[in-house]
Amino acid sequence: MSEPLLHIDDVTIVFPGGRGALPWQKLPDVRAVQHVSLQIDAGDTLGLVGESGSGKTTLGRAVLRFLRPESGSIRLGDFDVTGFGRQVPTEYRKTVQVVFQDPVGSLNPSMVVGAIIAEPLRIHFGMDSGTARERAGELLEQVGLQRHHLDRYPHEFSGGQRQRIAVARALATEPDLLVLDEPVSALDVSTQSQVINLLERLQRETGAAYLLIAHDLAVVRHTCHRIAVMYHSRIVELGDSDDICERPAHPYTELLLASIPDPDPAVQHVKSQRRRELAQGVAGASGRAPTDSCPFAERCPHVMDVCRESFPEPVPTATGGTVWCHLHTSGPMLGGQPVSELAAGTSTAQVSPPAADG
Amino acid sequence: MLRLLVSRVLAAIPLMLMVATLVFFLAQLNPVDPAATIMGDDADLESLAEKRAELGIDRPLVVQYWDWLNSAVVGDLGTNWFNGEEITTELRDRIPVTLSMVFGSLIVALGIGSAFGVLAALKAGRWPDRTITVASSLGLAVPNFWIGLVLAYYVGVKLQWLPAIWPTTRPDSLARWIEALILPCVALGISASAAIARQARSSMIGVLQRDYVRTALAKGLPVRRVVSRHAIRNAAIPVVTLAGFQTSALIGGSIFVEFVFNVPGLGRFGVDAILRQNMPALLGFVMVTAAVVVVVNIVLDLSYAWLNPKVRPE
Amino acid sequence: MSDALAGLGGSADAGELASPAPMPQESAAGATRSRFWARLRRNKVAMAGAVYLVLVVIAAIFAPLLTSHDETFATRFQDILFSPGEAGYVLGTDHVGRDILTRIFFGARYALIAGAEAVLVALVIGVPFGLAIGYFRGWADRIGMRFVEIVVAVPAVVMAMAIITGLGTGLTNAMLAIGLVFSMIITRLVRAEVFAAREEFYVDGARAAGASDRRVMWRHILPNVAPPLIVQTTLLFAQAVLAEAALSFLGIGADASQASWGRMLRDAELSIDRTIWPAIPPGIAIFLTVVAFNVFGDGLRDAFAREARGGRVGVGDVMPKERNAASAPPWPPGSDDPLLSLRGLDIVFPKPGEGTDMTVVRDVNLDIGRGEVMALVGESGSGKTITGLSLMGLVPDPGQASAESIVLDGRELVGMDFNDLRWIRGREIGIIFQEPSAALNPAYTVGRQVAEPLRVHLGMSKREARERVIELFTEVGIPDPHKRIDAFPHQFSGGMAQRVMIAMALSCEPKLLIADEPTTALDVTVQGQMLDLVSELARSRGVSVLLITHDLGVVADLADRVAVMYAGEIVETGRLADVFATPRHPYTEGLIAAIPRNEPRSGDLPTIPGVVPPPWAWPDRCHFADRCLYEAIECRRGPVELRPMGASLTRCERSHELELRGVQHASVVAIAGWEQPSGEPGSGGVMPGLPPGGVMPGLPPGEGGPA
Repeated sequence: MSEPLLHIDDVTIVFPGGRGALPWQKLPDVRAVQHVSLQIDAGDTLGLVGESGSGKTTLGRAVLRFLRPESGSIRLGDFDVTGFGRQVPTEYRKTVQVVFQDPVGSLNPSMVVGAIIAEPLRIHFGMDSGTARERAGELLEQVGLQRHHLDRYPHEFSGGQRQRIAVARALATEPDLLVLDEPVSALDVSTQSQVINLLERLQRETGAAYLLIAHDLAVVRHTCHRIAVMYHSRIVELGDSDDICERPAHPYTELLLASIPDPDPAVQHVKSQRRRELAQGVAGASGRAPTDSCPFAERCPHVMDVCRESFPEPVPTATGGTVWCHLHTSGPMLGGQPVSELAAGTSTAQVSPPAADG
Repeated sequence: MLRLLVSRVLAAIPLMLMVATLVFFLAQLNPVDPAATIMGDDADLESLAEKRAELGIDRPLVVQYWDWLNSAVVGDLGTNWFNGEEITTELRDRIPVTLSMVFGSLIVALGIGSAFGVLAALKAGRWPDRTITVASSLGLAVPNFWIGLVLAYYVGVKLQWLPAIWPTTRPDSLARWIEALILPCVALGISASAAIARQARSSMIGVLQRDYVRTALAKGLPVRRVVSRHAIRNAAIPVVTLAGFQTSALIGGSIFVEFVFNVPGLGRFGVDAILRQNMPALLGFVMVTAAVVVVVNIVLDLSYAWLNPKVRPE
Repeated sequence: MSDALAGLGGSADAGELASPAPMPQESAAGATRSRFWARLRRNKVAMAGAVYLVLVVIAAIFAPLLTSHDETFATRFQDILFSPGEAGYVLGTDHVGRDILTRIFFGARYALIAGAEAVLVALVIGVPFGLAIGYFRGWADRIGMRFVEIVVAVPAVVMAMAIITGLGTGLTNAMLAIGLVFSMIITRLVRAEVFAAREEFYVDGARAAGASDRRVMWRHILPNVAPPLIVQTTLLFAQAVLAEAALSFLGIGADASQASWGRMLRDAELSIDRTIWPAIPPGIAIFLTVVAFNVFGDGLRDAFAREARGGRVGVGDVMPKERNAASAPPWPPGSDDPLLSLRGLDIVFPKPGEGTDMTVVRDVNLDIGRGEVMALVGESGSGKTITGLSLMGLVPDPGQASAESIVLDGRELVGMDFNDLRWIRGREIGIIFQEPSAALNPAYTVGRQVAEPLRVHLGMSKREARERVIELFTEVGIPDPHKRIDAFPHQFSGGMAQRVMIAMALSCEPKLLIADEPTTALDVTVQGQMLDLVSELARSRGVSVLLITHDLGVVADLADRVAVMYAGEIVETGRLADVFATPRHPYTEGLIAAIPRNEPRSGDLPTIPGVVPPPWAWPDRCHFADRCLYEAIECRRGPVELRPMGASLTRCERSHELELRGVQHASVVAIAGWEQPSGEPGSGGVMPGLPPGGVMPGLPPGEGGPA
């Protein structure tokens, strides 16, 4: 196998804490991402799944070099991203592009669509305005809009159309990697699938790799070859999407899967029952991410003492993925088997009872 | 709350220091020799030099600054170059006059302005709103010294209802004091009331569209309670911010009103200081006004914390 | 200058009415700009201000031509003070015999030049300074802002006076000083706007596209900072005119040879023992000029803020509507004694930017049985939320709701006034909203807010209410209720805040709970807990629920019956099992197919082509026809009625001939190791019949639901 396109190696991202009420007080730092390693092959799609505050967007911003990790390295092709100084090379900007969640805020309201799409063309290919306009028109047609939309302002479009414009701008530089930060979560269901289909078609046409950041595991499964599940600053499971979605090895992945409502009431009945068994803590991730324990321990139905003492080492799963969970190496010693194996006899799995309250 | 107070007071100290520094060096830009201003045009070089030495302005600037700062820290702002009075003594007589004018107008403006602003918001788009909106945009444009002149002339001189100028002797009773304050306060407070009314209206309109107002209505509360309990307190936050700016503006405006009504306050003192290049007086004047603004802002910070639990330190 | 530091008044942000409206057909290049000017031109007050300012400019330029009197104001009649009209002096003369009218015209020059000088200085310093510290932040910002703080710690006039001391008196120096002080205001404004703009994704987008810092700043940020900057500049011009007059009045601005308006007032004061008259014309000139600048600035601001509309307290009672015999379909399928029965609901809003009305909800009928969960499903802009609000008389201000009848438990709500409805709101009908953190008042403790309906409706004492709130908090699963009751909303996570909302909505034991997108703003693992909580509480108390959502998965989890809304109309309604297994409307079919499910996939995801049209573009026939895969000639004939089809009602001309696909069994029905569902997996499309009386059996005892 050839060298992966994107190499994220042991990246930790820390936001310095703000000032306290007193001038000399300093709030503790926030560890948004801890020791994350990921790879994406050229032309491949990796789904990064997690809830709000999990650090998935922060990691995406580090890949875009909007912020610099505290430690670890990010390499993309020949670029040493973490080694860049203040000025990011234009060549890198050409190689990596982004589509954001918010279709309203992601396009400059004071520029017409033509100017928005032409900007990267002029910067990276030095096109004159006529050529750039011609190419922008082609790109618009490629994303399912029309040439005459070039002279309109973003607010004249619907959410789905704006996302198409954002995609057209991102593709203008012919990037190798597209960071898609929740590209469809602000859209209506019927529009969501339009945009997903478009992204997939474009990937076939351009061969760009995608880093798809999303909270909806079902959407991600449909789009991605591989999935990384993040919880509260850590990656907890990584693997092929069908395996992750059918044979999850981490209790959090299983909870996520059980939480996706299904339109088939019979299926939903099973799911919601399972969800209730799994949901222990009442709240989502909150507070600061712990540095030396499993962040999911507070909510985990199978929590053991060791979970509060250290963050687990990676364990290969039976399906060829990786999981970071103590259940596989101590207690029930799952050894990479799906965590649902525990479902039948939960009591045997519980070395220590879950905490009384979160 | 106490910690918030302490932190704000501590932050104010370097601020005041920087203000003093900035103003001290700004005022030195002028090439005019103060000694010449004091002694008149026909003074000979020797007596000018003598005067300069007496005032201490023949020394290097930094030394002058350091000296002034050292005494200012212990509350000594120097002596007036022209009449030899202690600056602190002069200010002490004038501060109460100006402050009673400024805070008198502010309190009245807050009362009138918020009441009309809230009324306008509740009747948005109907005639009370339109009337108040027009009145407030006119009120914002009235020059306070001009309306002061007009009031002094008609109410003071023609109608003889209220004193047109500040009494030459210090008012001996509270009633006399208030009587003398009314016209200056009106002249000073018009634009502040208008500004507060506008702010109160727009922030109230904003708050009335918030989700929590809808929640309060959905609970079945009467409109009066929704407005008085749920809307006004949140709408007050930007009004408080504005009141801070207005205090500063009122202190500035008082200079002109004092001029019109011949009020022996800080303003006249400051204007004289500028016209005559009276450095110690000018510095004292600036420091006192800055101190008032800083203190008002500390009070406002505390009231923010009361209005908005989010900014309370845990 | 009294308002110099007041900053922008800030016009109220108008929440957009429906979904952001796509207008693909009616706009062309530059349309935005022309709409801006159209809005500005419609504003009569602002236009009057503009016209006046043009006149001032003309007066200033042509001052020497406009009067027959000496331009140097030479005094032919020294020490004679003419009254207005006397000796050919239209406005009379001042105490040294100078023509007041002439001086007013020349004063316009000084006012404009002085104002322009101050504003120019302020912009030249403030804009780059503000852009730089706003864009680079960090230490540049800290130092810059400290400097601004120092300058504004002293009142603007006082600081200007201090600067004048350094520069020397005179009009030019005075306005330079004013400009320096104003530049701090501009700096602060630009910095704040840049900070706001920097948070916008389009700035990140431009950076990702490779734009340099300079390009981002000038091409992307500055144009979007421009509107507030233009407004503020106009208002500062007014302040500068005032400041010029004020400083000249004191004698530290214009000198005796300059006919500035402020100087005229100073001169007038010298003769005030004789007459006030010479003070009146310059005072009015200043006043009018400042008013003109202010109203023009306000007009600009309103024109920039696209659809600024005033909102009164957002309540609209539902107006009675004539009964329309034709709109009485056999309704509803199989419920004899509904708790709530809504007939013929219409809601109209004024069309944005125009005087005409548009219908956003049309002829909605709805029945909710006792103890039943009714789901109202639709995409954004379908009118589902506003339909829910109308049941409580809470249609926001410019909206107008009318209905034939709304009967709640035998009581007619249509025609009730605000005060009658108060006893329905909170007591008979409780509601929870989409954004729990925004729905709670940030200024009060949650305990106080939950206690409020208890005190108002049930007349509880403070102590009783507090006890009850603690009970309620325990029921909705808030840990540590004794402590949390005194916490403020911002100290709660979204899920916890929604629990507070649920406690509040159920506090007075209402008969109906309206849940408007109760889980949309929450994390997916919290969503499930919230749904469990709502269904458990509703079932244990026999409360009926109107569940408003876009998420068919949530519907499947909770609902007994469904009504699907599209573009203001109910297009299909029936029992959950029927609608999901055999949809009768192509839109329902499309929605069901488009839900992302946890299953292996093949080929493209199913979609519904096109977008939901905005309310003013709804046709007078089937609203869905343009996006429909089965559209035929008969779909374009005219309005379509809801009619029975199978066990459901549907608004489709072709429902009798269409074979629509319902929910398909996922080929992998469950995760390995999970208990299998009761139906036979993979049995070919139609799901098994459901037990009567509810889709989801009650919680198994002892299972770990919320505490």
